[in-house]
Amino acid sequence: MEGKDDAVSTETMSEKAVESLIFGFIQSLIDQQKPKNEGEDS
Amino acid sequence: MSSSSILQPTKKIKCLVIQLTRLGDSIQSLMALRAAQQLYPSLEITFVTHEKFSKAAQSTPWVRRTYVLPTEALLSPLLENKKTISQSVPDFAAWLEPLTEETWDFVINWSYSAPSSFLTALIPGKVKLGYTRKSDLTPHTMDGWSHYIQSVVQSDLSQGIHLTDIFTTQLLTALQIHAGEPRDPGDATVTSKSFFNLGERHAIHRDWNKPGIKWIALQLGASTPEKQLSPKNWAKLCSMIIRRHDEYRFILLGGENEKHLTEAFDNEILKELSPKLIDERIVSKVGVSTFEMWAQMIGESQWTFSADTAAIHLSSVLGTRVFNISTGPVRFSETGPYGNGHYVVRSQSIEAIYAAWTYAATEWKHQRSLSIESHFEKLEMKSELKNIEIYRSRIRPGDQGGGVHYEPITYRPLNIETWTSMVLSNIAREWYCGWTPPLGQELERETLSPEIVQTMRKLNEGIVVLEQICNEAIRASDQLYQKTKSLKSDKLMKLEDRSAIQEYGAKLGELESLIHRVGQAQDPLIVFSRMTKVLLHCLTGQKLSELSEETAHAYRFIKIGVLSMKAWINHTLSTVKPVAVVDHSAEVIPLHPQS
Repeated sequence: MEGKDDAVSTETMSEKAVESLIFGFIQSLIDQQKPKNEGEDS
Repeated sequence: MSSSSILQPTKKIKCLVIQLTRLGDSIQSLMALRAAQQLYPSLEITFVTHEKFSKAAQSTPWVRRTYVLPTEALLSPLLENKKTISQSVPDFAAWLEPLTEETWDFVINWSYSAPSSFLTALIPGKVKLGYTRKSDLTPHTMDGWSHYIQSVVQSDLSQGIHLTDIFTTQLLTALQIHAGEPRDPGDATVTSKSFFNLGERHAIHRDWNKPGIKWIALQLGASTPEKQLSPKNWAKLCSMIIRRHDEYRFILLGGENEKHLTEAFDNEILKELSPKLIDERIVSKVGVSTFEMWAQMIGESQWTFSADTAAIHLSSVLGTRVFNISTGPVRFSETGPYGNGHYVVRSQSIEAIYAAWTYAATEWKHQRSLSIESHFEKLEMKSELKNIEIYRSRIRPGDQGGGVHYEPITYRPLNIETWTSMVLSNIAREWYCGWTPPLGQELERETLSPEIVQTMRKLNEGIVVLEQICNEAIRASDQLYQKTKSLKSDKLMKLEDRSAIQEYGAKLGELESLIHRVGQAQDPLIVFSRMTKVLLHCLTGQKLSELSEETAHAYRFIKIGVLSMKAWINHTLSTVKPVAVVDHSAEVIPLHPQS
């Protein structure tokens, strides 16, 4: 069904999987910072 | 279990919204959420955002909680090489913990970015919308509108549905499916009054709110330099208005890091106006205002002048008319001002921009019965009309497709990009709303050039090929499904079954690359290639039979779009066909001479 979270069920995620996702989150945030955008309120 | 029984309609609907992009996107998300909450009052919203852009959500009393990501504090040790990613994992996990302890009815990721997809995967939710990650960490797109955003909105294709309308429709559809029908909206509309709680009003200027004085809030910057109007051009536009319209004053707005733009503006305006006039008529609040003050200044101004910035969304919410000078690589049909009566202009000529604004500012007088041509002529600027595109925003009634639409006021022959944008918007409605406005409602015969007709003829050949490919792909995946559904195992099977499955698989692979080749050959058709790729990547089945059934669904879905575009091509071609006109004034020649 559309929108149902079949991709990952957090409850059944292992500690390792959670750690990998957090790792991915941090890495992609760092990647995003590289081409620094201008314009505070824009 | 039926889909509508997932959530109890009387209970609170716990909704987590992830918006990790810029302030403008946050405000657009809040507009969609407000509309949804008015239809579903039990919607309890938690809004996740970067600290830097959190003020808008924090100022909305109807958002239960704004959960702030302290991006700088968490990332600085990493960017300064004081910590490794592994060493930072506990810090991020601690920030994340309160979000993972709750079970959300909806997790809505409206950031459409890589970081947000990881975050969405980490948070437990009964229903998720937007980007997430599969258990093997590969990207996954959860719902139909998000497929559209991935394959169309985030590509170089232009389309005409505003982002606020996409968010609103996406959320309302999900709510309808999972939480049941909304309450009767009655007269409820999204109004500026209850949107923000801005606290105490600030004293802005001695002439603020003085009768007879009208303020124009001018947002100097934009997200990137190529989207900005230069300080020189802003100064020229200001001086034209100040010299000719005594009642107007300007208030310059911008962030701390835009002070250099004020300095450049000051240098330029000194070349145009006397210091006394500048002092009397222009005030700068660049880099000194809080969010609350910024919102107050915009909310109490007559107009907001701005390029593509968050100021146009804030003005839309607060009910201030926007004069959006759309500059550089901007798709205003997706992110322009929302509501009725805003103006969007695209031009390099400040004279033409000035003339367009005077048309907009005197609408109350001419009630739009005056043509834009006559207006430019009255200003002795008729030659400037060729240098500008002018659009006026309008909320369309539901039976015309709904949402905001930018009506062109200046005549422009239709190009293939505009045609494609128009058609894609209709295809999207057919795909995700199951309904389309009447065929060709925005297509005007006079705008169709011989070039576009020629392009349509070529496109017609391509679309027929695509239709055939879709039919073939549906047939092949149906046959694959029939073959695989009776298999006891996907691994152990008869040799003849294996070779038949491999054959269907190879055929489907060929058909997919054919769709791609057709898309490469003709730009408007590339949407089908991109959508096929996204849909096939997002298959969720575990068994071969499930995958082949989903593949057949995907190609049936693509075919709906192909047939819709085919109908548009035929309609466009039939629109330019010569039509017989009965001329009653012509003399009738009798067949038989009268005796």
